[in-house]
Amino acid sequence: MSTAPADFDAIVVGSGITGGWAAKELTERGLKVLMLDRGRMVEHGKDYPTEHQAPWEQPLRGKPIKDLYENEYPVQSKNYLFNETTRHFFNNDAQHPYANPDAFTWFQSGVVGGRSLLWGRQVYRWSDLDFEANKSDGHGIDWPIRYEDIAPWYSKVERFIGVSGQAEGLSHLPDSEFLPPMAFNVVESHVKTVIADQFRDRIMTIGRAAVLTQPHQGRAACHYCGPCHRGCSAGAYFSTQSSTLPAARATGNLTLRSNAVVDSIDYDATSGRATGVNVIDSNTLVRSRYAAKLIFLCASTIGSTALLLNSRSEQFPNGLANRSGTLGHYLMDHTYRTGATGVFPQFTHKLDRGNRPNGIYIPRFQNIDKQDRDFLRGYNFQGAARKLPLLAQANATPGFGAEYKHSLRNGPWIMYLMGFGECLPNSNNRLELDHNKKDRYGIPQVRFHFEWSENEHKIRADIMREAEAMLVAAGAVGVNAFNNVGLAGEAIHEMGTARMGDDPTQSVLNRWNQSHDVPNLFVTDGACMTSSSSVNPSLTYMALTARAADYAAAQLASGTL
Amino acid sequence: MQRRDLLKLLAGSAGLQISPSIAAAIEYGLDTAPLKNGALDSLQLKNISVLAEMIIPTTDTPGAISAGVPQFIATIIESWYEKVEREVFEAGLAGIEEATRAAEACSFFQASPDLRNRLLAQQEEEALAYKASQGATSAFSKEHDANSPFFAKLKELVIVGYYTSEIGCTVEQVYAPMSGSYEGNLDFSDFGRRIVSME
Repeated sequence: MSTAPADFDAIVVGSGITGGWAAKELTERGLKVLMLDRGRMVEHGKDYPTEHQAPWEQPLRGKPIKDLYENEYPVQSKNYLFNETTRHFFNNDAQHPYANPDAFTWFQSGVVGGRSLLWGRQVYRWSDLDFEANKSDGHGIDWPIRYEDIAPWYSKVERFIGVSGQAEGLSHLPDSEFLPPMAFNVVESHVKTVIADQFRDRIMTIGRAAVLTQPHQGRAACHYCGPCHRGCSAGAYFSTQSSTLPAARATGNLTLRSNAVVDSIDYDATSGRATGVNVIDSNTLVRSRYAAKLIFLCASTIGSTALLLNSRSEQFPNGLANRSGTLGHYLMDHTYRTGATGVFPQFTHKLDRGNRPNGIYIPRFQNIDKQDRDFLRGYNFQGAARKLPLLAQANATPGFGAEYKHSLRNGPWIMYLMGFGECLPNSNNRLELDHNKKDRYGIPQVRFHFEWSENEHKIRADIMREAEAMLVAAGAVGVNAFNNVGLAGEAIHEMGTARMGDDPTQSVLNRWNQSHDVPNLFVTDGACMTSSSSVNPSLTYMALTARAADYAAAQLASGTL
Repeated sequence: MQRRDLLKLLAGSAGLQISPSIAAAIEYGLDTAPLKNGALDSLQLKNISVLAEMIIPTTDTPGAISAGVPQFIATIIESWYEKVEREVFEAGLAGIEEATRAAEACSFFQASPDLRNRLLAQQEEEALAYKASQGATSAFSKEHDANSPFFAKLKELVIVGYYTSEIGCTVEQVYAPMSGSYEGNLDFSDFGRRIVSME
């Protein structure tokens, strides 16, 4: 076993949305940081091989490579973005498997930058409606923070990443510091007006997106090509590569190692601290160890918790930082694939131009000031209107020949509304390590246990009712409510399993994302979440990471850590 | 015979010069995918070529042959289809060939337009009946129906092949891959076409 040539002030495990933020904030405070990622390196711009590729340049015109997907990408190929333009960013399931894909869908990236390259870029602040939810109805434990604790950090993050959106002045969905909003199309504007007139308890606004509508921080404005997930060399959407990695590198304090699989964290019982991490090179399988004063876990909700569970010692036989016994428990996601679609033939004479990487948003309108529904908490709607996709229209239209061909030159608009519903924290929804099933590094595989609760099913029923009501009121025809209850994980908002709380016997992390049991260990990705809200979580992960990094660096400087 | 020679032959037999787009498709390498299932024969390729052009004909814009659709279909059948799909497709081709021989004592690609239209319309009837028997599919389904009838397979391949081709994107539609803005309230009458981006 080789020893690292140099020690570091901090090690950041993971390089996605939170890892990038941890590296940026810690290096900018003068700390020497080692960032580790198990994936291969992706350099901004030069490693986006399919960016701006035309449809006719794609092998097999986008048809799936069935044998390859079944054998090596059985989980990832179910992702809505997975095809030959993105496959190189995804996890290879054959090389990095987990024990039971039939219980939970774990979408993973396999590259530096992680899912920051592939995310949906929707960013919304949480509010005290969210941070007080557990306390109000008794599900889960109370959050140790409130909106006022995180608000300045939301601002700091937003000013750096750039968030386009429209201020609405809602207390339960606070405004961000916005760049100019993206435009609605003609159908969305119509539906927005109908909602304002006929549904007084709610509003429709344009999606709030980490996509630039004007040049910002040296990055170019969006040129509306559409498929952000192929990579954007203009840096118009926030990713590690476009934003936090260049900032961290500019300090001269960052060392980045790719293909570095962290299998465990060492703990020293005398000092009561984590002392370093053990790494396996994914190409050579050579093991090495790196020591540091601080350890930040940003390896994703499931990755970070699995790493803690695999770091066992005499003092922590059930996983590092797990004296509470809650590590791995209270896994959450959002309800997904429930909503409605409707067709708007009355706007067929209208067209749009530009592939807008954003949609519309209807903030939560249930159970706001009082309990007014037969379920707890709530949901929001996300969606968009667009021309009926040509291939769908062409397949659905009978006939062939000149008349058929020319009939496809125009078509009606469709709109979809999909609800993202809050998921209650439940101890039985959890992950564990299966020590009888190991991967090629000898690391036990993750095994999931998850069941949707009655509350989430009631939320789904209301989502369908309300989506249908709004589309019908707006004059849509062929309104079709859908409810495809899939596995958890499909919303890719997995959260919890190392939750924050004030009580060390009930939680893994304190109000600073710091382990109650191991003070120089921080977890700032989705694992820290105490409840799920219905609001997209990425912005909150970023703000919590920046806040925790500031706290940790100050503690280190003062000698407390 | 090399694939590219076959393709040149079929283009010639359809009475067309090889258009720049066909040449580009041939050179680009749609025909370089490994032959998982073995090659189609020359008669099958000629019939596929005529069928594709019947579905998306040359009008005021180029049709399926100019857009390289027959090559795309051949690649999918030879390199991508499952066994059952290829069997359905080949049986469909053989059926219309046989019916043409009985009616006009020639091959389908040489048949009168009237007969060709009648035979293809018959195939569509069968496909529509099959579809009606299947019920609705989920809007989110990525499922691919390997058992769908010949006409459904043919039409799906022609549509994908045509509307993802350079001609299908840039001539039949207005191709705006990087428009620089989002405009959501344009008048169709100013364009007369769909506006399409890269995805």
